[in-house]
Amino acid sequence: MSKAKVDCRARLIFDPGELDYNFGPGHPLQPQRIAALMDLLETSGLWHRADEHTRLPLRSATIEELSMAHTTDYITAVQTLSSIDGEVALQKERSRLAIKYGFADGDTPALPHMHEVCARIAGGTLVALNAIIGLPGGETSTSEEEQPLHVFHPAGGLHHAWAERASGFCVYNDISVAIANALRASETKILYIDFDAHHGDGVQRSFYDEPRVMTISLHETGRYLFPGTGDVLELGNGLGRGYSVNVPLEPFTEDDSYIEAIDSLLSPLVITFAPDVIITQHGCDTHAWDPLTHLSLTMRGIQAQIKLAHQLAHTYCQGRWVALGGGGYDLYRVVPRAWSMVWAEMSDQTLPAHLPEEWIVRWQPMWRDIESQEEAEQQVMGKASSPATFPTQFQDRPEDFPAQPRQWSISSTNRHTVALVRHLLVPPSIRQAFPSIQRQSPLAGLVDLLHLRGSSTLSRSKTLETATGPLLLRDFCPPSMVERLSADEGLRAFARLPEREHQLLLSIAKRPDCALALAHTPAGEIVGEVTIAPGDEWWDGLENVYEVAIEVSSHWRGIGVARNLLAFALELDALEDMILFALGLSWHWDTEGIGLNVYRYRELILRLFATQGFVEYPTTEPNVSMEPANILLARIGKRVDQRNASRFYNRLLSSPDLSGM
Amino acid sequence: MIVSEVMTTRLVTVTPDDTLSHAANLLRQYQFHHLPVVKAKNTIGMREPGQAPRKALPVLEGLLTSNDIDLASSPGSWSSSDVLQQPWQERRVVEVMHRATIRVSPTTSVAAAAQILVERGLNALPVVEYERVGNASQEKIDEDETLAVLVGLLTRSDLLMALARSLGAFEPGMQLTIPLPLGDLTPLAQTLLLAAELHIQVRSVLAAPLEAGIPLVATVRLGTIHPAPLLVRLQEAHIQYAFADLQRESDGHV
Repeated sequence: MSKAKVDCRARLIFDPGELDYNFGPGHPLQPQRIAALMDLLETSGLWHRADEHTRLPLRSATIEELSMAHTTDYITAVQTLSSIDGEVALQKERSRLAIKYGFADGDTPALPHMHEVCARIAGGTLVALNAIIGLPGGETSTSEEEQPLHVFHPAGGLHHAWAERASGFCVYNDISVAIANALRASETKILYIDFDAHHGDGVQRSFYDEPRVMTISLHETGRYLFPGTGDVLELGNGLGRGYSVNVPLEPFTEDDSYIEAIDSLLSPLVITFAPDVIITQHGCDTHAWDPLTHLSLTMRGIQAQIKLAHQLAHTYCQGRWVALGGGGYDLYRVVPRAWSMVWAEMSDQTLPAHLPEEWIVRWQPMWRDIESQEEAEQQVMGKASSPATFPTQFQDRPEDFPAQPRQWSISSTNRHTVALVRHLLVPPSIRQAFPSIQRQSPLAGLVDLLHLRGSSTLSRSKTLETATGPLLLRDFCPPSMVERLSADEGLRAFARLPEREHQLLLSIAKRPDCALALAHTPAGEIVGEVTIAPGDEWWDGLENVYEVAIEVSSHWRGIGVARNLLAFALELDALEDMILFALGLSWHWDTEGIGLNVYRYRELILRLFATQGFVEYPTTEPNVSMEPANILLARIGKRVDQRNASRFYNRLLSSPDLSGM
Repeated sequence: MIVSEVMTTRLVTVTPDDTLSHAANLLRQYQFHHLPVVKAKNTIGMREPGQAPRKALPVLEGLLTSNDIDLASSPGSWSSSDVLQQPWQERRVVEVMHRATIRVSPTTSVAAAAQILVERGLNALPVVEYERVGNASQEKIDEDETLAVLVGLLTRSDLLMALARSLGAFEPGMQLTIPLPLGDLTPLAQTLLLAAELHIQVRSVLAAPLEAGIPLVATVRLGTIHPAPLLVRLQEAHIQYAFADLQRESDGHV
């Protein structure tokens, strides 16, 4: 078994010193959960502390490293508060510091040696990230093949700590510290996905205006729950706009709705950002038995989340993946099983069905001691009581989790949230390549729709002479043809890599309800694309509303390719039955590459679409109204009936929230 | 709450003699809509000897809004400078600014300022302090000059931020709703006492009358990730509360 582990180059970071992260008896966060996890890993043969190939030693983060994510006066205050100094004179100063820096409440009390323990945990995550992206300070002597590809640091994931304040059981934000140091030392782009039931506010704050870090947090809505932030409209600021993603889910979301949300959101977001490395935080307080939250997942949902993280790392980041722990307050029944799953997935091992007998014997009594307290907390939090049994298997038994009564309305609210996130953050051509499940168009294929008026050939083609060379224009490109072509190097505005752009085009070509027009060289390189696809969830309920998106390779701009391709794609007479619209969102524009400011670029788009009869419309659509440079252009076909058109106009100015959808 | 607690104090200003193009650039650069127009008044020499010389005071002359510039720059607008065929960019701020005669002082209550903004249809109010300068002998008050010294600007955004801040929205915390039957505040008081006892920080308390002049519900934001101990105590004390989305009919304690 250990052979397989070496091959996949997974490492686990654990240091007994991390068990000193202990806020005392009665506190919900107990380091015993990590002890139970390590014991479970060893007793089920998934990991051995003696095996050099599967562990990574950690070191403490230095003050300088910590100060990349925390203010120096905060670090000094933490050091002062961690010293065991009983002097009466200092007591007043200590309590002043405690109040100022967030240690005054019961959540995150000041502890002796707190600085050392927290710097150690921050160091663990730092070492993990450095090892993955090949920075010094990770692992000392490694050849290319031996460099770890995945690292799991279960004691990390303290995502609530702010730059200048302790919060929600977190003192130093190990994630922000690791990311901030990696940003300083390399060109890396980092994706952080936070699966904890609480919003990852500390990490989001650290990188709110940083376009090299995308933070995605899936959490229970902050309407009532701590920390209260994490609304969909927290999108990032300045250059970082669009790089903070929040998916607030309803209480009692349960597995099915959760899996639907992560499946329809994460892939398009990752492809949009094209990160070099993925960091995931696997807070397992999402589980139904967790005393602090209400998401009500079972191991099935948690395992889906872990598998997806692994798959995303391999599909988009050459496998570079750091997994962290996080919240999780059902200390013995949930945390050890959930995080064993992370390690098993990461190291490509199959979990045994049953938990080892000796492990159960050791840890069940610990749970018995707190069982009644746990039950009382479930009840005051307004949740159904959990069964008074200790699990014997890694997976949960469905019969222990009765379905909630309002499941349908909860799922549909979540679906709206996910749709809004997709609408706001995923650029059109990527959105079209990843249609959400419930949105498969009931209409006949767009090919048939556009050829109702009896044109003989389905796919037209045309030659275009340009200053750079001849191009072939072709509409309704079938997948077989897209497969034969390749994407020009300069075609990367949306997916950032030409190969991925090619994959997207292929997915769009396969959709019957989309139309794809391409411009390619005689040698088979795609240099431009126009897609026509049904309007996304924002336009639900309107008939015949289609979104047009266009992209031209950066090497082929300024020679009329865009204008000619757009004219060619929209030539069909049947388009007069449709409402076509296009969104111009300044954060997708390659203003650097083209050397224009956003307002000139806007002018360019306006003129381009004006050649095809598109007109600018004012709208309250949230993306367009967010920036003055953004623009919505539409063309109402000549045969569109008045009622349909006026419903479209109404939608343009409807209130920009969920109720409009 | 008074105006000085919520107003913007780091101001970008223009002088009456600046050009409109300069003002337009500032508005575009900082992405806001109001520029106070100030004239620096040097008070040195007007003080009694022995008193430390004071630095120049920004005296409010008026307010220039992006709307004023839009009007001045629109081709059809009539103005005296048309005679001179002067492009709008070269015109002076003093020609198009408002006098901004409606002002508030730093000690005006926020409620009063909000009412002025809404009733007069304004988006921003200059905040001024009146200073008397000249020979400070009290008998000659009439001859003294009273200057409106600009100390801040109060915009609608400031008021909205103040509202969000007083709801505790910028602090990490969770939210608890406590019904107050017949406006009886006892459950709220008990909750706050229990929170204090359990060392749970209170981020904000809101119990405002929505109708009939009595608050019927209190919203408390608590700075904790772990409310269960408090909720247990609330139940023991038979205090009703709502937490999370528990509008299920079967729910016992809501």
